[in-house]
Amino acid sequence: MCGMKPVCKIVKPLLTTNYYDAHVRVIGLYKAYYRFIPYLLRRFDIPKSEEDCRWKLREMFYKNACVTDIRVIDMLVIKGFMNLKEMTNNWQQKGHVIANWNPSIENKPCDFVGKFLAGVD
Amino acid sequence: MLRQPLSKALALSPCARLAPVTGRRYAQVQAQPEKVEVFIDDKPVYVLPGTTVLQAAALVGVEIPRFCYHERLAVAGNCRMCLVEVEKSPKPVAACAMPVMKGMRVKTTSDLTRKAREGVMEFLLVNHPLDCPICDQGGECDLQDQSMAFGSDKSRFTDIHFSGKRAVEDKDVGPLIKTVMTRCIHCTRCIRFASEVAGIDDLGTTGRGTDMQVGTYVEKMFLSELSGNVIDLCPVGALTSKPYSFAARPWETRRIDSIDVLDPLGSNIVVATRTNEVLRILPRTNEEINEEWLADKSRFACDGLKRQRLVTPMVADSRGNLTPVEWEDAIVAAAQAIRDCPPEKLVAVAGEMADAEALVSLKDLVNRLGGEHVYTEQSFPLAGAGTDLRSSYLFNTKIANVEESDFVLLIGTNVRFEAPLLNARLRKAFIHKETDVALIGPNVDLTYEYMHVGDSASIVKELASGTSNHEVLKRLQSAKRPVLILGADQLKTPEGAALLAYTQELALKLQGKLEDKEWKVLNVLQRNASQVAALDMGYKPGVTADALKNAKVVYLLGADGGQVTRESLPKDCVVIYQGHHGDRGASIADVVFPGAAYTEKRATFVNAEGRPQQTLVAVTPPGKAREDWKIIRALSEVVGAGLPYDTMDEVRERLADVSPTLVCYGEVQDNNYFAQAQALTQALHCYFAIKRRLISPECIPLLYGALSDEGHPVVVLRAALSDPVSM
Amino acid sequence: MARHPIHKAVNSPSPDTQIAIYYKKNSQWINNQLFLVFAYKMSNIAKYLALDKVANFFNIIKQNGGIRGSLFKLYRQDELKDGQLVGEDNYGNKYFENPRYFYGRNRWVEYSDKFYMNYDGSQVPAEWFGWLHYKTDLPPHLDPNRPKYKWMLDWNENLSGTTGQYTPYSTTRPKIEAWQPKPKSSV
Repeated sequence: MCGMKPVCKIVKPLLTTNYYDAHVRVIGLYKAYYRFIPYLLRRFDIPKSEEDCRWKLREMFYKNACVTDIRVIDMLVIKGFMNLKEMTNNWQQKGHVIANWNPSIENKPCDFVGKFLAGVD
Repeated sequence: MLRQPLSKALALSPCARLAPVTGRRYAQVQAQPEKVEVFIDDKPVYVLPGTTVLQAAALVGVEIPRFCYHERLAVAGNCRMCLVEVEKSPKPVAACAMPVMKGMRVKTTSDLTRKAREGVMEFLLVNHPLDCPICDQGGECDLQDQSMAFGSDKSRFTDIHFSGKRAVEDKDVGPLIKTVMTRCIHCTRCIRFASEVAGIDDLGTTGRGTDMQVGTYVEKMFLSELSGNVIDLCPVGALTSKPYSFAARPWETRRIDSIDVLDPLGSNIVVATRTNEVLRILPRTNEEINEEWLADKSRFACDGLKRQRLVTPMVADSRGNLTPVEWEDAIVAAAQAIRDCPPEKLVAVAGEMADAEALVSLKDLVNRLGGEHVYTEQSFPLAGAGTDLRSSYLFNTKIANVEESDFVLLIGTNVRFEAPLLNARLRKAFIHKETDVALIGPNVDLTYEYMHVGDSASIVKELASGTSNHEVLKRLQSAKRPVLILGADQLKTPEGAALLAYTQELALKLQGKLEDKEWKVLNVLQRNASQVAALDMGYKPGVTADALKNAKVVYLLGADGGQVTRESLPKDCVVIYQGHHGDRGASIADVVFPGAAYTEKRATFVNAEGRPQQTLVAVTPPGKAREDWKIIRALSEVVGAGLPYDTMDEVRERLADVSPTLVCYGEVQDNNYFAQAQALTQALHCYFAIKRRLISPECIPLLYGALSDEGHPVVVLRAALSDPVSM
Repeated sequence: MARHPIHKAVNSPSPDTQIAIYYKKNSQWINNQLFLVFAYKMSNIAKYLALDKVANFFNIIKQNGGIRGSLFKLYRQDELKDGQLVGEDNYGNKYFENPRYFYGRNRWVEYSDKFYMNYDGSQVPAEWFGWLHYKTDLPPHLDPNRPKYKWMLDWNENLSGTTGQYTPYSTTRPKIEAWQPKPKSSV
């Protein structure tokens, strides 16, 4: 497609050449994570249930639902597998895993009175 | 009095002075003399005859080093630093005092010039101590800079082993100026400033040669309201600021442009800060307002910003003692009081340093709740048109144009202390131009000669009706550009309305006869920085006892003037104070909100001319203090009448809705509504017919006790910012 | 490793005769030894039957002031030990030693009763610290080399967390002086 337009830059594909293959890979990554969840809960002492993890997994995937560039999708899939490998190999500790839920981050106030009381502009 | 002390003595024509004056459009267009051509470093330039070589060089961008020469002072020509070679002249000439001649060829970079400068610099340094590391001027010292640029690279000074360097005893000239007279290089800038601008002929020189000393002859204080300016003028570290001594180096400080709010003129200032602390305040050149001077009160009052501050919200406990609380509690306490209060019993009073943003938020809050009682502390007669027309409470002539006037009548105002820089303008006009000044009011020292007409307000009536046989009436009528300046403090009295009306009538009569239709005669000199903005927004001037008597909640926006006291309020009245200093207002309050002072917020202030200018944030507000409009905005939401602006830009939009003039920064809108002014006086006349019988046209005691007592500026600044509450 | 080949070569009786001669020479000593072996075996039996533990238990109870005393000490320091009182410091802390316990647990301190439950390690004075931590085997009162000057301060326990603790404070003047409201009621 890009080849027809000389102004387009011709790039090398990362993993896949078409959207269907990329989709298959994404689904594969999703399944891999999904099946890892019970082991994850056994391995890491985090106060979350399987249900919570599944919702978080869904959320993480839907966060990138708008990505259409195949190369970006591939890159995200690669990073997803890297992350999964880090978990399976115990390179991540429970702190890394629970960080997906951002439990310690407090939302900044965004209304005027909240900002005023907190003293932030 | 000698009107042109030194410039005349030096036989220089006044037009040689290139003092930049903005109000030039009123100057008479004289036949311009033919320009002469001179060559500065072979660059041709056409200048008026009488221009000095130094000024001609400045026109082509060649800066000649100088110590004694200053644009706004007379030429002295005694430092010899500006020596330049002139072709066909046997000796180098002093560029600052040498008028140009046709075809003159000036060489500012020739060997002779360079040698002359080196020689002068060497002589200056022979008797100048090498104490730059402990000198407060270090880093902003002209001698330091110029010795680096024009001095010799090696020293031939060996006399240190024999008789040593000259040493001079330090003088004590008061608590503001520190003197280290050994450092003095006798440029005499301070002497010329004192005698020409400040009008205090106290400084002078004694002795000659190596025994020459600058001082006050006998030991006395340098009693001037402009004394701080000699610190800026001094090219070396002989005169430095005492409060600022050993505080910081100029390269350590951050400089933020701002506006002064301690007098009605709104002088332009630079706030020097370091580590979130205001270290000093310097003037910023603005030809329209303060030229490059600054009044002592504005310059030295910054130490008051560190004392007696309100740093945390406070609420009165069950015993009535103010105790520090969190913002939430204070706002809830105030909101509860306001919500329980019927709107007609809610009174807001704005003090003298309230900014336009806070003023508009407070007024919007009160109006949203259904109340109408928004007042300022300074009163102004509401009879007739009152504050409906802007021209009746502004300084219409504009500060810079006062110089163009030929007759100034001051009515009940001691300009010297109410607006020192306006007085400096008047003095400048008096000395350098043909301006004469007359005063109705107590016979005070204005630092220049004036015609004292008397101290009874009835004189104004006689002048207005034309029945006076005083000389001043003839002078006014014959003046081409007369100016009337009415002190706003006179309008406090019950007779104030009449005084204002007579002054307006007189001004209108004078104005009607003028050839120059653009010229404005009537001026009211306000006393503080917030009044004009407040009146523009529709605040009612002067809080009345009636309003206070029925009040249930009183909201003081920095109102420390003493108009609101506990005695004037009902017993169960809740007083909310918002401001930056703990003073009269905070000590009667039930809820205290700490606000930001003028160096701590971006805010709009409108000066006496009606010129809006904005301050910038130089330091952060201390402790839990917040910007003023934000406090009111937050409170409004808790009260349940949320104001529709969240950001500064939105507040400014609201300001522009109220009055577009409030956001035209740096500009003065002309108040030249001639027809409307006529109508206004007509209305006043009707009113007058009734009123005239009521007032006794005899002597109205002019409110001068307070003004004459102000005396030394140090006292003034303490009173302004850090007067401890006497209870 | 033939160390005495010459001696061996000259005259060496048979091993049996050697034992006989040895026994004849040292019969008394060997008998004693045999008894000791027997006694040892008996004590092993007692140990085997955990009778020595029982003895120790009663001994510990006895040393710690009977059942009530032992319960109190158990409550106070979670531990009951028997041992020899080595010394007592100026603050009433008692130092014990019992080599029967493993090294590292065989020297201990019983804090003075006046501390009740508020005891901590910093209440051991410096001179006893060394003994308690095996830096020296000489308790301070038996150590002749320990300096004793009159200017030496008494030991002071760590006061952190108590009202007597040191709180750091700024010695610089505050940049902003806050307004202090005047109290309205003098009552």
